[in-house]
Amino acid sequence: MIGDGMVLGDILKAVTLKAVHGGRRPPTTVEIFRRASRYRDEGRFEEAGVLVARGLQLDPDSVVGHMLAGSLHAALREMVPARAAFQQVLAVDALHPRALLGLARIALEEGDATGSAGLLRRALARYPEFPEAQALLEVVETGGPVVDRPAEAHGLRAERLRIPGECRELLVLHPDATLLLAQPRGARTEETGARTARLCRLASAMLTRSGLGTLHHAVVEGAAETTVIRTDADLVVSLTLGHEVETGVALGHAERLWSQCHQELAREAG
Amino acid sequence: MTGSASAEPVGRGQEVRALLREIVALPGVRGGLIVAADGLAIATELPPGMPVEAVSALAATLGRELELRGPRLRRGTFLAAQFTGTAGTVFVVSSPIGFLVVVAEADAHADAVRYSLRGAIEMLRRAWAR
Repeated sequence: MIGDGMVLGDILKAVTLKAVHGGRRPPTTVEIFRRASRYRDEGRFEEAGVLVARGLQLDPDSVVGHMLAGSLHAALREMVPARAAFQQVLAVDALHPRALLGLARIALEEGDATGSAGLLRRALARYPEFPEAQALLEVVETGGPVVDRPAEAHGLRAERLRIPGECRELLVLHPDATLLLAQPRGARTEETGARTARLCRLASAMLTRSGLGTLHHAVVEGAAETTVIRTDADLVVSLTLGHEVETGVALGHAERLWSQCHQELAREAG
Repeated sequence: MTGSASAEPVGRGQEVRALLREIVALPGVRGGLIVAADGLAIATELPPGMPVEAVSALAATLGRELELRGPRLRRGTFLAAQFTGTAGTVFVVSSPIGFLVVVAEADAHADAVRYSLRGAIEMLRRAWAR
């Protein structure tokens, strides 16, 4: 909506004129937002967005309107205007649970677990039985700070693991994102490790809530490569390979590396 | 967000729900949902007792994490993912309206689920291009 003022303005003017010349009563903002909400529920985000813009022109301070706008921007992956809309809601109602949830999800996407947890706790202070906030807070609270130590301190050495030749990246970490080994190590390794740990926590929570136990392994297919993950309560092994490697073979590599890493760590501890 | 608001819905919601019901009818599939990136469930076919709100919030956050992982880490676009637990698998694919998520038991035929998901995504793309 933001940045499309001229186009949107023309559309809205035409809609308003049609209503006036048709002799019909113009819809109230309540009616506009209700219809927008119905469109949103059907996944018709852009049409809903036009209506919300129209409603907010008529009632710029509407909490319902700004909340809908934030939700629609987030649905369209427009996180900057989504954040602005949620903040508008909080300017009127500082403990609006859904606005706090929306901001918490944006903070989580940006890797700000502390900020996200704070927002979720504020939402739960207003509405303790808020299932979405409870579910996300559980995930956020299980993630610890990233503590990077050299691989040698953990007894894991790349040369002692039989890393497949097709491997584009290998990461071994604790579920709290403490990095044990990265091959190769680059400027984005820490971020990759933190994102991998968060992905595993989210997936594990999703599986648990669905009654399917905790995460054992994962396959993430990208346009350019595939990442396979083998994990348990102590270790995450993430292996990225090109599409030329079959998924079953890739999972076999991940399983073997996971087992080798456990053996190496046990040897070091013993 | 641009576009024009038509007078009445054209029944896309019904199409989406029918699509989901077909996938959920596959052997071993417990349920599924289509959730927008903001966490709002657009269609759900989940068994009784499964916490819809919590699962929707987690599914959307998981989908976004998968989406962001690719470009941030220069890995290209996320296509599909499957997460296997001790008692079954969760499948996640990206769609024009959000994420299509399927919850399947351990004995479900993973290839059949993936095949159905690919078809569903194509159908959603066509419907949302209209």
